[in-house]
Amino acid sequence: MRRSSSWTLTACVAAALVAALFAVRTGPSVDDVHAGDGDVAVPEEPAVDPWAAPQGVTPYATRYVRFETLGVADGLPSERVTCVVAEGDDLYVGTDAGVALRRGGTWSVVGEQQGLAHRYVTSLARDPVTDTTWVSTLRGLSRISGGDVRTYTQQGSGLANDLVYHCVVDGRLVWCGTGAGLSVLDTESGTWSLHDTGNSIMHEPWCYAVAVGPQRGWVGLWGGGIVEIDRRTGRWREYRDPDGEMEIDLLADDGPIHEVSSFVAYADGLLWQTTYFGVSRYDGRRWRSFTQADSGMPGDFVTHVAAHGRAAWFATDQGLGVFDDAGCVAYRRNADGTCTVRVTRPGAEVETTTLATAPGDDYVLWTHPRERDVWIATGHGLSHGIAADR
Amino acid sequence: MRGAARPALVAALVAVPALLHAQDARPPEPPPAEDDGGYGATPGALVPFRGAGAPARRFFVTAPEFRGPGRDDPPPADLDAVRIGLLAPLRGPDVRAGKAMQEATRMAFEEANAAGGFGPSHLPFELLVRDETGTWGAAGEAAVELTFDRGAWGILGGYEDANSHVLSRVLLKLEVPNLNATGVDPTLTEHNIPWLVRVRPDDRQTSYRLAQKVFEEDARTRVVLFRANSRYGRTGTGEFKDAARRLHHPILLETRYEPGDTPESPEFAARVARIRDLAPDAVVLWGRPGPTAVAVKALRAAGVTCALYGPDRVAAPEFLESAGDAAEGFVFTYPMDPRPGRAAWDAFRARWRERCGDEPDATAAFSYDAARMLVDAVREAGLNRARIRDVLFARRTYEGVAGTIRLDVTGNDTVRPVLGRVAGGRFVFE
Repeated sequence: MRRSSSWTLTACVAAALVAALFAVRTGPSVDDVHAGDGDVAVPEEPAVDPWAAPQGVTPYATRYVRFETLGVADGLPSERVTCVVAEGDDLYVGTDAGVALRRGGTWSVVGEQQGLAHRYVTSLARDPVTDTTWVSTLRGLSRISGGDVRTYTQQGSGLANDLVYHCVVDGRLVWCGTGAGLSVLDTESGTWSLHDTGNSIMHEPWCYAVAVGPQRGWVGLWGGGIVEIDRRTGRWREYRDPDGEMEIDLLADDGPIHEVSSFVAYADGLLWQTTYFGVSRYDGRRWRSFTQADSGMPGDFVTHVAAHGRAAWFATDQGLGVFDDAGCVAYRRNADGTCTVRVTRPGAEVETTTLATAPGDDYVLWTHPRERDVWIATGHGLSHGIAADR
Repeated sequence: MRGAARPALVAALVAVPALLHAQDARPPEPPPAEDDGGYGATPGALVPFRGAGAPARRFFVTAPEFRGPGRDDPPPADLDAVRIGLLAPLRGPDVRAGKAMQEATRMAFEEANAAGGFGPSHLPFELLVRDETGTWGAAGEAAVELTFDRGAWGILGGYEDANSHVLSRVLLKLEVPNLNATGVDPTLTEHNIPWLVRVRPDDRQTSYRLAQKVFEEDARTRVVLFRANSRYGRTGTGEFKDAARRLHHPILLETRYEPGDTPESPEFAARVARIRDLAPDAVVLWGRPGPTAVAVKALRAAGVTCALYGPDRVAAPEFLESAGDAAEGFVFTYPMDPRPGRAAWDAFRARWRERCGDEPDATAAFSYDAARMLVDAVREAGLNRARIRDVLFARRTYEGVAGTIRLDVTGNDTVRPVLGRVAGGRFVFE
């Protein structure tokens, strides 16, 4: 979910996407698209290696010392929180009963009565430049801006399907992973492009998540691993589990751990894939996979990953897991409301501590980490993990 | 299930008793392979990467769990019915199956309501039928509507596997149980989604049984795969092709047919000629009954005389009607044993005949069983979706009208299909 601020790059991205779609419409076979043939614009600026780890990335805290949880009593429309975006003190919270916005310390709720496509919110994306909030739901995509709510659906727009699982803002583009392909809206021209099994390398059209990085985008597919589009050339590439079997991972680090991707995220030269069987990481040369059994992850059923630097925050059904370069920190709620923190480092004894407070629930659906804190969407409220003072 | 479907099925079931010994109407179930026991009841010889050492990770070793909230949610106070959704094809090539799904489910609900419905206030079970066809993703959108707008406590269906996949993807968000009685795609239950149970054997089991029949029992070695150019044809044959390789008889040729193909179509004729020129000793066909019948007729007309095999979806009345004499000897799998002699099945057949005027097929039987399983789960768990799910996943066997349903840890039926063949214009079972 890295957001590019470069309008030049953004324009090139838009041109490449449109050109890729145009290339398909003019008749080349799927193989042609795979090979990158056709009239596809190349940006004038030098190519950027997406796998190059940038220097000077400010590390985020991964150890939290206390948690606070917000619920219905605090202004949320439901205890079941599905996603969250934090900007300064403002919060944008998705639930199964609409969107809650905390702006300037005041809560408001946008639901179906206010024009939201559906009350179940699958993801949120912010465009701070235009102060627009994009909301993906189980019945379409909504845009909240200037007090207005506009909804895009399969019947009335270029949205491939009303089941929109994830949306990402990338300059003037809004990428939407849907139940029938990847739809990309150019908010300046109002045009849509569609990428699915008919004009891309996708093995299945069920797009569950989108990640955007320098000159490339990645789509996590349900049953098709991950596909990557080089936005300079329009070439597609796919990452699949090489053994081709759903019931095993023959070799541990030979590719994505499983074909069923539940989320993808890219940051600072690393691509992360989550699945319901564990997680994988790709650095452009090598895949590494991690499971509860071999890494200290709190669980293998992982629904979301957020990335920054070399760290990643995983939403699992058994708690919050945070990877940093040194290992995994797992946060799990105890029955008495305290939190067990397990730190697993390769070659070292597992370190276990207890905090007086815990996230609202171990059923975690989304995280939004920041430099000194993390917001956590859980089955029982929106939790806020706070790091120790420097 | 009326009209054209009736004569062929009636004839088929009339023919069945003649095959049986009078004192032993029920043959023993096909014994599982000795080294079954791993994922998918896979016979030892068909285990992927056998001999390559243990895989780094095995999945589907334990049942998927739902660890989210909801088990403490109180039941609504003002219900007038227990609503259950059904996603079925109400139009298009699978409409016959869709009618069977609806009729069987209604039958199960009517019987449940006659027996007292749900709870002390005898709430009736109410069926909400939605069409899974139409726009892409219609199944998912219908599931959202059923769950959020109509308060469905569970969803039955769908039929076509792309639709069932769309449905399965949204289950995790909806947190509603789904019982699938008709889907055949092996990957449908390979997502670790803790809300989906399938009560019929899939095309993995179909492939295993067909491979056993083709390569081991009938000792075929030169096998061509002639399949529909569709998702069903692609996903259904995957395990069969793998099995062929693992049994050291890789498929000679895989080629495809389209729904609109006719013998006059040059491309279709060329494919058929290519098959003939290879002189195979078996052709395995995989597709819907109508187009498969066209393919069978074309093969026979071209002089292909070898044995023909296919999965259970071919074994429908329209296949017999369309293929005619060309279907003679066609060997197929069937997900249940439809021969008389088992009390629950015989009683169901009698009720169905009285209700519908024809014979039930496997789609009807499994749809009825799925509906009864869901009714039983609702009665046991109460009106709480997470608890209904827990009851469904806690069961490993279920005695239904279709026979014993054996669920593996993924919630997938692993009963080995039986074999049938076309003889005298009828379906008969071995």
